[in-house]
Amino acid sequence: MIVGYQLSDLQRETLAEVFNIAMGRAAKAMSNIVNEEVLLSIPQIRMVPRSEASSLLGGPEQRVYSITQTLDGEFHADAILILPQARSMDLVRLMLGSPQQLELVTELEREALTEIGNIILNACIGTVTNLLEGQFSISLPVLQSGLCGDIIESHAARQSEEDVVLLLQIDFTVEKHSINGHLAFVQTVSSFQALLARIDRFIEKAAQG
Amino acid sequence: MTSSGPDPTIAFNSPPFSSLSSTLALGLIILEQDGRIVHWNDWVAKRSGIVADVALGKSLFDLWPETTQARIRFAIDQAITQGQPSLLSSSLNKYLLPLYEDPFRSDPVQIRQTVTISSFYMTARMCVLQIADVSAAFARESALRVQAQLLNESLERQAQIMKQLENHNDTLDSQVRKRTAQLNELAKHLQDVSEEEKTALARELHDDLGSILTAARIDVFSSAKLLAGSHPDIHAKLQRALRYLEEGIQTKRRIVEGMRPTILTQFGLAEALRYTAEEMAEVSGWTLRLTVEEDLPLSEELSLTLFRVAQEALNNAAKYSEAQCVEIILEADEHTVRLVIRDDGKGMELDAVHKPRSHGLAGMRSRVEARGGYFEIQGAPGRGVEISVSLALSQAE
Ligand SMILES: Nc1ncnc2c1ncn2[C@@H]1O[C@H](COP(=O)(O)OP(=O)(O)OP(=O)(O)O)[C@@H](O)[C@H]1O
Ligand SMILES: [Mg+2]
Repeated sequence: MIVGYQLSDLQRETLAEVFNIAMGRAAKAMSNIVNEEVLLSIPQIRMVPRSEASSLLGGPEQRVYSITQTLDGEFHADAILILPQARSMDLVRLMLGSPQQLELVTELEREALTEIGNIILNACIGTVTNLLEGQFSISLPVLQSGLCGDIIESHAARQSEEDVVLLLQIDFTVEKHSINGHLAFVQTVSSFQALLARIDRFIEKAAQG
Repeated sequence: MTSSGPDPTIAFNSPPFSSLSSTLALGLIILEQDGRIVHWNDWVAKRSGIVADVALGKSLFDLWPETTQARIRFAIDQAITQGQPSLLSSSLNKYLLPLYEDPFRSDPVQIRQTVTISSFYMTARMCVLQIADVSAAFARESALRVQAQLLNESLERQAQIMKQLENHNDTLDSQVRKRTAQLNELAKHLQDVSEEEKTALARELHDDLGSILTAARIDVFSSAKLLAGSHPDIHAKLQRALRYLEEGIQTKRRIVEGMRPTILTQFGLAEALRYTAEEMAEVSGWTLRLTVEEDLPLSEELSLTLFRVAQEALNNAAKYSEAQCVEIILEADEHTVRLVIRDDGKGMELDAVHKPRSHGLAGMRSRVEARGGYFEIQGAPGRGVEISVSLALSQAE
């Protein structure tokens, strides 16, 4: 175990609150696009070493889609939305209202999934960058499909430092169809400590204001 | 916003950037922070019907008022204020920007497009719109969907036809079963009738012809006795007549016996089989192997059916098999009686069952099946012939 990256209850609650507000906005944006009620919530937040992340995401052998955006600036982080492959295409098709279901997943369906991921990621990244108050460049979303373990592994941070993962569980519901996804911020321990410091400052300010 | 760098309008609209941008196979629009257009490449000009000179310096939202309320406006704001890039997919966002294949046609066709919106720093944060034409992918996918739909429909139709066929087959099956049962019933009835007729005929032959022959024999016998001394020539003739009469009586007896085997009615199937088989074995020189259960609870019809089968099987063996050894097994359990007649003779091709004018084997089968039984013939050239029959002990009648 690496010391110094545990979340205190107060930090965890604060993060949960700001992320859930952001999810509310993302859900509303999606509802407007698809004309269906969309619900997004974050029931759980955890910090884990990168090596343990994939087992918490349903195991390294689980087939997933991932949508990744990279944050660069004062520090580097990969924000990865991870959705179970089997059910997330159903969700996309529901949102697209495709009349005739195909055996294969089409290019345009993958593109739609990328957009959905992009909306969720932007909401979460916005929350983090607001907390950090820094200047960041953020990449466009990239969709991948593959084994959960491989995908997490391919996002090792650039430094040889050990990485940690801020893992948000995401419940995603459209109509009566819901899936469980995860959003993983993969970053170095030092980046994460900077984030923690910001959270503490944010909490202090909130207490004063 | 104060700026010390190059003026973006000049930078993006002079070479080399402008020449590069005009060669792109995608639309490129660059906006300043306030939404004013600082670059508008040829791709966009051609598909919007608005030349760069008209677009440059104008706000995108004034030039295209339809974008003001839309998701695209939100995404542009997000890119400019927060640096967050967005991908707007063609399938979730039906018609993003008013771009057309040929904007000057009277009914222009709007192109399907994927728009990515991102930002970069120059003098201030600038917003970049990249537009890709995905109409071809759209057409391909809808063609694919139509194909899939057709395929599904034809699979469904096929399944329906299969089901109809199955139903039809079921109906045919049950018809065949019904007709077979009717035919068996008829065959059984005909056999019963024929056996009854034989029995009646046998009785008449026995009672009438038998008594006539016997009376004639008594008369001839006493006449011959009377004339023995005085008319030796007539006596000799009467002696011959007596022999003829004796032969007639024997013939009658044989016929009666064949029609209604008294041995069967008087001593039962086991004894009748043994007697018949021993008689034939003696004539044909067979070694007999008999495994015959005594006192089986068989109805008269059942006994007769089994006896007739045995008779015909033994007849065939005597006629064709040239066997050394013939085996007969009669056994029963609670429900079923089984008869096997087996010879070790020259055997036969099973096709011989269908010989024209050969009715023995076919007759056995129809006798047995008419009573709901099971008939099997096994044989190959050089391997002898085995007939086996099973019948239910209690007839479901
Ligand atoms: N035990 C046997 N060994 C060898 N061949 C046999 C035997 N039983 C029957 N066959 C062959 O099968 C044929 C058919 O027999 P089946 O009893 O049906 O007719 P059949 O004896 O020829 O005429 P039918 O019995 O009508 O007087 C016979 O002609 C004979 O060639
Ligand atoms: Mg015969």
